[in-house]
Amino acid sequence: MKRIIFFAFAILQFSFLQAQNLTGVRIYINPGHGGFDADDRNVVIAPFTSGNPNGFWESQSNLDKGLQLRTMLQNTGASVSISRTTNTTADDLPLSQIVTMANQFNSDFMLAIHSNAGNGVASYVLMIHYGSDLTDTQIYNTYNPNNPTQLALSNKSRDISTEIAKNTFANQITTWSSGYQVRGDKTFARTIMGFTDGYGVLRGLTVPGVISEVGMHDYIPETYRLMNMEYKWLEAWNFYKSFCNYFNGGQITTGVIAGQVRDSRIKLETSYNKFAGNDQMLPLNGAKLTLVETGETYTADNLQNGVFVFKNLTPGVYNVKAEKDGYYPQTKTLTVTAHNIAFSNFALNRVRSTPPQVLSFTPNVSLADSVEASTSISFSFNWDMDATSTTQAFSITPHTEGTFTWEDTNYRMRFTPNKPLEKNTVYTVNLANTASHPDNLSMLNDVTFQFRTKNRNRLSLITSYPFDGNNKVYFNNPTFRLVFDRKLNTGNLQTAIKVLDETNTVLAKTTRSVVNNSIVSPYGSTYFNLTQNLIAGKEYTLVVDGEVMDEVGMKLVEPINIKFKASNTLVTAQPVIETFETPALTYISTESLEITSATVATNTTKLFDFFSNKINVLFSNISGEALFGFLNPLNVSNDKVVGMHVFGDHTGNEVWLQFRIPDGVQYLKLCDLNFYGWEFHEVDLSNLSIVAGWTLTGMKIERKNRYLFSAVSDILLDNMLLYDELVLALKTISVSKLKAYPNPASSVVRVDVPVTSETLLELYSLNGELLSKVNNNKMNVTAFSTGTYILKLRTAKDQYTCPLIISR
Amino acid sequence: MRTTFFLIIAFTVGTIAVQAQNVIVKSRISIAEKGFFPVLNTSGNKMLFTADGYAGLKMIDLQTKQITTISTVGGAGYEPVFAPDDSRIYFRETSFKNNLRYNSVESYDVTTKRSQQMLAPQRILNKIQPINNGVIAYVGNKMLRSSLTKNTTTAPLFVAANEDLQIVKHSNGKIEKLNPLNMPESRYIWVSLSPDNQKILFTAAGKGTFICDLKGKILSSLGSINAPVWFNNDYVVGMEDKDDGHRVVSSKIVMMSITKKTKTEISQSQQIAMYPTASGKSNRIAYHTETGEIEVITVKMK
Repeated sequence: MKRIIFFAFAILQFSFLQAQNLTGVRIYINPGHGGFDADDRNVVIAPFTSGNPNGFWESQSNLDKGLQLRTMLQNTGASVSISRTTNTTADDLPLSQIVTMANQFNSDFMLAIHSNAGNGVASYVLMIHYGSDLTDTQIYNTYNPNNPTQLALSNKSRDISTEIAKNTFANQITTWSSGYQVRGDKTFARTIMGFTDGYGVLRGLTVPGVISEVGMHDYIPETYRLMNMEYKWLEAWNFYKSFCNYFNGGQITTGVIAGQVRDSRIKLETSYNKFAGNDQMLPLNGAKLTLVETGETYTADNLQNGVFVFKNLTPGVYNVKAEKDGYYPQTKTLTVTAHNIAFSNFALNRVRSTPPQVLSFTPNVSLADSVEASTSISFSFNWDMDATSTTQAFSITPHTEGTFTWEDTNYRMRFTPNKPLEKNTVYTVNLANTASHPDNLSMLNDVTFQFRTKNRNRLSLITSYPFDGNNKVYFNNPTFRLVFDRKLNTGNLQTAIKVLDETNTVLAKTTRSVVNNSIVSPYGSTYFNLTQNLIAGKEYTLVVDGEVMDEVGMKLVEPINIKFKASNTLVTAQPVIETFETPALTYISTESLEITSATVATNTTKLFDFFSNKINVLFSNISGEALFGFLNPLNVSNDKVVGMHVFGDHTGNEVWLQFRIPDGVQYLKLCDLNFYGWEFHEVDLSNLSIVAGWTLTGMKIERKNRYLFSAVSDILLDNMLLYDELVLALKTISVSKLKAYPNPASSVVRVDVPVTSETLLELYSLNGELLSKVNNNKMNVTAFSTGTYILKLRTAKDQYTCPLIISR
Repeated sequence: MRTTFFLIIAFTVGTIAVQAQNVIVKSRISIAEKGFFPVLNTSGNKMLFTADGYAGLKMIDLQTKQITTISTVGGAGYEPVFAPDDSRIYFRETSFKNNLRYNSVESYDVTTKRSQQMLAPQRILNKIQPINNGVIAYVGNKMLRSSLTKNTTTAPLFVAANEDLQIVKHSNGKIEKLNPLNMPESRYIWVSLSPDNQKILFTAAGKGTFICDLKGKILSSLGSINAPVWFNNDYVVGMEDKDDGHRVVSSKIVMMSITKKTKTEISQSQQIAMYPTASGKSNRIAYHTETGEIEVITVKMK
C-alpha cells in the first residue's frame, strides 16, 4: 500500500511538470587549460604524490564538470561546444582562440569552469562575469559603464552568473567559509588581482560570459570532494539547472539526493585546515548508502570525502539507509522534489561493544626515578571516551588544580596542573572504573599509579641586568640580560619578557639583537636591546612573566618586576687622572691566583676620546684573582674619591683597587660586576687607614662563585677621576629630608614617615645591589654585616636616600 | 560627421626586425581615440573600429582624418565589412529575446548616413560577405542573400567558418564542408579566402595556422600565429600572443611570407598588439593594443 501511494504521488508530481527543453540554446563551455603540467594546479593529497596524474588536478576536475554538463545540456536539446575534451598539454589553447570559438559558435553564453585557490583557509563561490560591479564607476580601456551596450552585456552576464552562484552555493555537502560573490571582471581584476582590464577569457566576447569559481580546490576537504565524480556531477547539475532557469527551459523533472557520511564523534586527525563542523569529522570511506524504495545503492569512495549522490530520482518520499561495518546503521526519510537536490548528511555512531580500557598512561616511572614537576598526566584508551564521566573519574593526591584536554578524538585524556607540582613529592593518580565510553560501558577496574617529582618546580632567574633597584643604567642603548637556571623555551620570550616605561608602554625590542640561550648549559639566557634609547632620569620596569618556562615546560610561575632607572653614566665635571687611551695597566702574574691568561689592551668601545682599556681574564678555577698594576701609580689621600667608568661583563665578579703605602697594602672594592655595559663607580678613600702616602698601584679582578656560567671576565675601563666628594649615590641623597634612626643601627632601623600602601624602604649595598625591601617604615637589619649601606625610601611622590651604618 | 583628433605619432622609416629583409615599416600613425578590432577597406583609406565587446562601430577616413559613428548597437563591431565600392558598411546588431541571442545584418549608407536592415535577426549568423548591392551570409547551414536592388548575378565564392567550427565553402550553389586536418572534432576558426580566391587561410585551435587549396589540401603550415588575415596573395599578417591563463602577457603582430615562411615583426616591442587587419593594395596594416590604441602601419615591400 505504501509503495502504491508513493508512486501515485510521483506520477501526480510529474503530471504538473513541464519537462525541461533547451532546444536551440547554445552554450560554450571552457573547462580551463588542460594537461598535467606545473600550471595545471596539482594539489597534493594522500595517497597521491606530487605530479601523479591520478591525484587532484584542477585541469582534470574542470574537464570532468564540463563534460558532464555537456551531456546534460545535449540531452535536453541544447547545442554545446567545449574548448577541450581531453586533458593534455595540447589542450592549452590560447585565450584568443577560446574567445574566438565562443563567438564563432554563436553561443548564447560562455561558461569558463574553474575552481579557486585560497591558501587552504577559505572556500566560497565566486562568479567573475564580463563587465564591472554595479557600484563601480571606473572607466576602463576596455569597458565603460556609461556605454549602454557594454553595460547591457555586463548586466546579462551578471544575471546568469547570479543564478549560477545561488544554485551552486546551495550545496550543503561542502562547508563554505563565506557567502557567494558575483563580481564584474573589470572591477575584480583591478581591485584584487592588479590587472588593469579584466580577464583575457572574457575580453573580445560578443556573448555574455562568466568565469565560475565554485569552491577552493586547495581547501583540502574540498580537494578530496573534488576527487569524487558524483560531487563534480552535482556542480555540473547546478550549472544545468541554472541554464534551465535562465533560458526558460522548464524544470528538471527529477530530483537528487546527496550528502556525506561521517563519524558522529571521531575527528579526522590530519594537520590540514578544516572548518568547524562536518569537515572536522572522520569521513566514512566505503560506507554503503541504500535507497530503500528502489534498492539503488551507492558506495562512498576511499578518498576521505564520504560523499554520496543518487541522481535522476522521481519526486517522492525516499528512505536512505547508511551503513558501515562497526557502526550502527541509520535511516533518514527525505522528500525529493523536481528540480532540486535534497541534502542529507549522516553522522554514524560507532559500535563500542567492549568496555573501555586504559592502554597506557604517563608519567610511567618507578618511584626510584623522578619526573619533572611540570609534567602533565595522560591516559590513552582503547575507545574514544565520554569526556564527562572520565574527567569525573580522575583524581590526584595531593590535590592538584588543573585542566583537562582531549586528544586524538577523545582517545587520550590529558590533565595539566595549573602550576608545577610540588617538589620531591609522591603523587597518586587514580582513574575510577566509572569512566565510560559513549555506549555507556564503563571500565572494569580502577587504574592507579604513582610517581615522584624532582626536587625542582620552578624556573629560577639567577641574575639580570638591570637588577631590581639599579638606578644607573646607561640610557644609551643598554643591553638587557637575563640568566636562568635552565635553558629556556624561547616560544613566548618575545612577549613574556618586556620593558615598560613609566606609562606602562611596552618598548619594542630590536629583533636582530635578541640572543637566546647563548650561555653554557644547563643555564638559559636571553639578551636583547631596544629599538630606542632610554631617557636619563626616567624609571622603567623589566617584566618577566610567570609563563616564561624552560625546555621541559617548568615555568617561572611567579612574575618578576625589575624596576630600574636610566641615567647618563658619563661623569665629566671632575679631574681625570687616567684616560686609558693607551694601556694603563699590566698583568702581574706573580701576585695572581688560578689564572690561565690575562691581558690588557686598548679597545675602540669607549665613552671618551678614542680608546678604552680592555681587561681580559681567563680563570682556571671557580675562585681566583688577577692583579694588574698601574704603569703610572698615582698618589692619593684618604680625603679623596676615585671614580671610574667601567663596562661590566655581568659575571658577578668583583673589581678592587689596590692602594699601597711603603709598609702596607689595602684593597677597596670598586664594584661588583653585576651589570652589563657602562656604569660609573667610585671608591671613597676615607676607608683607607688614616695615614699619608697612599698610592693607587693596581686593580684586581676577583672571581666570585656567584654564577658558574663563565670563566672569563671581560671588562672595559675609561676615564678615571680623582675628586673630593662622592658624585653618585650619597651625593644624591637629600639627607635633610630623610632621617634614619638609630644610625648606626644594629638590629632595626626606622625612618620618620607614615606608613602607606606605597611606602617602600629599601637597603642597598654601596655597589647598588638591592639587599632588602619592606613595605614599612622600619627594617630589620640583623642579617647584614657591619658596614656602610644606602637606605632608600620610595613614596608615591618621591624617593629619598641616606647612608646607613650598621654596627655591632 | 564628426571630426576628431587624428594624431600622427611618428613617421618611422627603417627596417624592423629581422628575418624578412624585404618588408620595411615605412610609417606608423596612431589614432588618438581609443578603439579595438580595426578593419581596413580594400583600398586602405578607410578603417572601421569598435569598442571592446564589439559595442558600436566607427569609421575613420585615413585621408581626411574624420571619424564617423556608424552605429552604437551591440555586436556592430563584430566582423563588419565594407561594400566593394565602400559606399556602404554592413554590420550586425545583436539583440536578446528570452535571453537568446540574435543577430541581424544592417546596412549603413555612407552618403545618406542612414541604416537599414538587410537581414532579420537570426539565431545563427556566420560570416557576412559583401556583393554588389548587398550581402551574402552563411546562416545555419544555408546561404542567404540580401540585396538592395534586384540582382541576378551569381554569388561569388564564399569560404568561412560556421557555428560548428567547420570550414564551409559555397560555390556555384553548392555548400561543401572541408576538414583539411581531418580533425575528429572540428575546431576551425579565422577562416578566410585569399584575394585571388585560390587559397584558404585558417587556424585549427590547438594545431596552428595553415593554408590549403580550395579542396582542403594543405599547402603551407604557418605555425602558431593567431587571428591571421591576408595581406596579399603571398603574405599574411597575424599575431603571436601569449597568455598566463588569466590574461594576455605579450603579443606582437607579424607579417609572414607564405612561401618563404619569413617573418617580420610589425608592432613595436613594448606593445601588446593584437588582431591585425591588412590592405595589400595600400600596403597598410592596422592593429589595436591591449589598452585600445590603434596603430596604422604602412609597409614597403622591397
